[in-house]
Amino acid sequence: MSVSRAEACRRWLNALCEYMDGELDEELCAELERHLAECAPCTTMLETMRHTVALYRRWGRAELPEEMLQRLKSIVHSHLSSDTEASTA
Amino acid sequence: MAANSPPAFDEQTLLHALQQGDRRACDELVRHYAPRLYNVALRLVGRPDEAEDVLQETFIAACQKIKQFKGKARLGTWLYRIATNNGLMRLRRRTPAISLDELAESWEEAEPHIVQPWPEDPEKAVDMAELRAVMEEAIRTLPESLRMAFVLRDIEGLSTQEAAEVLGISPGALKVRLHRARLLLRERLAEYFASAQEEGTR
Ligand SMILES: [Zn+2]
Repeated sequence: MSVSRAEACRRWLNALCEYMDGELDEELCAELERHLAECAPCTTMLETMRHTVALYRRWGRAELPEEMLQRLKSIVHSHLSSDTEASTA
Repeated sequence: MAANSPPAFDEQTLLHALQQGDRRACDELVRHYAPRLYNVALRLVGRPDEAEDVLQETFIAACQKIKQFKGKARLGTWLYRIATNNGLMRLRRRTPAISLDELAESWEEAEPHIVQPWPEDPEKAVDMAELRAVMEEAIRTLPESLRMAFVLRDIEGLSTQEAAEVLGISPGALKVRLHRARLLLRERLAEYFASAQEEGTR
């Protein structure tokens, strides 16, 4: 068991994503948490990845302009009416 | 309890009304899903006017084909899928082939370089307008396949399974793309926070 710390960290990097989504299997989860407890860089990676996701979740959504919503409604409507007319004709 | 809050959205009721040909139900469908689909479409095609076209075609197709919807997936997942396919078709028309170099490069860049703690509350520590501009630029320049995984999973909040379904890839492939996307975005923001910190101590 002589894996260098950097090598271990590199391997854990791929697990961080599943870990933060709660999708990492239990055994690996416990092992990763032991590593995190004594590894500052991996802990920082985890925290900054969480921040990244939280920031985008909060600010990353492009807002639908109100006029566009109105246009959409009326276009979908007119499309449907012409369909019904065509099928009843 | 808030007495004035709008009635809770009920997918089953809406679906039933749509399949009966209820036109108000189509309005409801648009009202409920347009904001989410717009975000996905705009992130995909990059231009508001084209995103609007994607939405139009998506809702018209959805209202016309609603009888074919068997309810195996959630209604939202189905709509995301129609919109995503429509957007992708437009992209392919615009840029016939994805450059392999671009993909290879993005794989390498996913390696983290700046690993130092960020401010406890990032939103309070920096100028939000500046940070949001950095965030926009970062997501805009992600390769499309990574960007879509991130948008569906992390911004829209779909499950791994749902996001994979929308993109027509396996959950494993979705996870790989999501991981790359998160690493690349994190790196860009890390650069920004590091430079902001430096400026602050100067
Ligand atoms: Zn580590």
